[in-house]
Amino acid sequence: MKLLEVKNISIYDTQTKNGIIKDISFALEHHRNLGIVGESGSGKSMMIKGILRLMAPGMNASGAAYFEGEDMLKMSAKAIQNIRARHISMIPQDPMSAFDPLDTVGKQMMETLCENLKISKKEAKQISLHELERVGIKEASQVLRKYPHQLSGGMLQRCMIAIAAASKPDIIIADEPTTALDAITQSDVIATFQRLHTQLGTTFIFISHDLGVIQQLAQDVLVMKDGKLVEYGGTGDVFHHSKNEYTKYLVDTRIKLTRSFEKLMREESCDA
Amino acid sequence: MEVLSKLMKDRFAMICIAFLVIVVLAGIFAPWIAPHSPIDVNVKEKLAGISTSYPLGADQLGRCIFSRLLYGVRTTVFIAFITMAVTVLIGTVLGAIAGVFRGKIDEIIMRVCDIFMSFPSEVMILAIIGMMGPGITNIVIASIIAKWAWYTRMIRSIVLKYTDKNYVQFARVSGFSRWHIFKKHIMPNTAGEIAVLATLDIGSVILMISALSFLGLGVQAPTPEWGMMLNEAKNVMIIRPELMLPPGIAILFVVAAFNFLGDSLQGAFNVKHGTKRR
Amino acid sequence: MLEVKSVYKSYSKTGISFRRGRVPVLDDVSFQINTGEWAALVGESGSGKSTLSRLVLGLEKADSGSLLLEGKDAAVWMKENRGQMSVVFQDYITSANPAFKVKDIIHESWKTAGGNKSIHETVESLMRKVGLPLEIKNRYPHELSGGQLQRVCIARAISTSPRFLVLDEAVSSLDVPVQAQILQLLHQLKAELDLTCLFIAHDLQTVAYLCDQIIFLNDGKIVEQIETKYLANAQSAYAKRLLEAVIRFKV
Repeated sequence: MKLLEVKNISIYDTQTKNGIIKDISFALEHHRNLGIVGESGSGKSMMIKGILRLMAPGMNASGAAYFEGEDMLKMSAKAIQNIRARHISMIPQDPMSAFDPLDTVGKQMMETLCENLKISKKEAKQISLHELERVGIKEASQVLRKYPHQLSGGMLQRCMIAIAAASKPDIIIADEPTTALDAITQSDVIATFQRLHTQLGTTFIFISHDLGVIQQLAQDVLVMKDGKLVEYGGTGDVFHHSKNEYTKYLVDTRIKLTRSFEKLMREESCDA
Repeated sequence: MEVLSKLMKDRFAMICIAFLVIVVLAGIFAPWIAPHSPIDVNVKEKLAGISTSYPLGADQLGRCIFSRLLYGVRTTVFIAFITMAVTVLIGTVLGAIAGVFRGKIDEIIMRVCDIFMSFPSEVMILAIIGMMGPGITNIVIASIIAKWAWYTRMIRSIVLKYTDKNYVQFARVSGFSRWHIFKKHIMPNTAGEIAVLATLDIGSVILMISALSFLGLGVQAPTPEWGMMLNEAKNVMIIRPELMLPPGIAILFVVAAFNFLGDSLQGAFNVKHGTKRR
Repeated sequence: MLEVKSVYKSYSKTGISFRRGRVPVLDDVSFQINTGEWAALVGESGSGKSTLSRLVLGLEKADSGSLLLEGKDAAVWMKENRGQMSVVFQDYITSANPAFKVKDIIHESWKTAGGNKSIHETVESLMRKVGLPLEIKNRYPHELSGGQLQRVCIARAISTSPRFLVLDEAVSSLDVPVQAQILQLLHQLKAELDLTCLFIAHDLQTVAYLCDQIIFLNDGKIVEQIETKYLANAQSAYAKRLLEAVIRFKV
């Protein structure tokens, strides 16, 4: 059975009747990460929010999104909350503003865990420490005592990943997980995702505008433009043998960006 | 003007503006509209009821309440305007100097503001009037002294918000004078926020002037003023309590109209500032 | 063109603290950029690169050390050569006054430099040069896409035909396809115009595309300055780590 199956989802503004997402279908299989690619404004985040029913008021979704055979769009509010707490976690786009600046990171982490997993504070602390170590934070107990502004963006991003992974969800959705980060931190975070994928067997959905990130992390890819699905398939196929003009354009521009750099790196290997 | 068209669509704001315009016009044209002189005592008509020649009746000295209300606009509302205008002017000049030039001059202006703001403003006003004696000019001076520091601070922080913007930085890099930057980028952007600030606050100035006159510290008899009319009505409260209504309702409506208008303006300019939150 | 000599800069600590501690941001920074060269300053957030750019732009003063432009003190140079230094910022949204139309944004700054051609013609030729459709000239910034707005900022920056241009993370907050387009535009401008440029960035791929020199800044110190063509042979540990961290796209 598919892990998540989205069928003909459309999202529109109830007042203006403007469609934002138009009739998109895709499926998520166990252990196959999905990358959603598109330029800003293409509706990538909006679609995910629609599936998880996190849309702003005034937006309405039609279609179906089956998780374990049940349609998430028709479920009761309580049931969807349970899914969000235990089965599908989300890592928001901007780690800096995802934490409340007035409380320590540890307190916020433990509160989330207590609430979502219905466990005691002590257990939550144990799990927090364990998860932080898993995402590659060495002095976990010290990080727990810090306030958000005392930690770097990469560190906060990893705390966010730790929270998302703590409930052992089936799916973790990461919205532009590397965009706000520096180069070195970006590659660290990508490595963390790869480790979680192999160690825990979690299936990821990555939303990004950078094809390089998607290429490293996802087995399947979905290309979006103006709220419509442009292309959907295996990452290698889509990136290398695309027939679609828009996908080709995305790939070409990405190659253009790297070409000089790759050339410099190749020259080195020739010298050596 | 986007702001203007936004405001035009806001029907409630337009009602407030219309009401305030009528009030101001009534004040300006009071000599032509008013059926009687506001200060003429006519003991025969003492506490007269509502009639065609006395639309709102007469007070305990037989003066026409309607006429006094009209002339009261001239004192109450116009004094509030003058106070506000001078305060905003001082605040804008000093706040802009502090915000644009920064450095030592900023430090000096801010420390002086700190000193002025460490007195409670009501106590300060009472103290100043106590020293200089009651009277219209003195309340204006007193309330300006009590308020300028707060305005300077607010306007400085608004100016600072814009000096951090990249387009101001760009203008600095390309060698524009501070005056040019202020005139072209900072002033137009801050003007809206200052207007909101002033509109929201003018209601409280009206209340303050009325309160001081009510206490006998402001406008002196026989000049008609709404707060003082309340005070006079208080003397005959037992026999004719309805005399308190005209000045009371006038104050209520004008202050409310300014506050609602301020809110709408704020929405139209889409600005948010930290203080003055409900 | 630009010569930075042992510049120090520190900020006083904020918050409640009785010790008047200062946090060093730039520590003995020296480098130079030759006329006509495009140099990249690469570093992570917190490395001091944005502080350095503010110093170069004359928006702040260094604690000690000197910044020379063509051998003159930077502040003096800027007074004598109005409009000869220009900048494009990362955050394009606050880069344009929201109350100005596109054409007014573009022609704002050349009043200082003086122009003989009519304003109208010059605006249009600038817009063509940066690849903007002419019909958007009466629009306001919020009606443009990020890429268009950044093009407007570039048009404004080159409108005074500056000799020294600072690009402060000018492509970092754009989507990859738009980044590529803007880089292409800059590449073309590099060939057409007689410009010296300081390109501040954190992504080595964009830097490799555009610049002749790369200066690595880590924790307020210059750790390496290298010509781009020898980038693969970078020696410092920091540069090597950055090289490894590049997210590559394999074809």
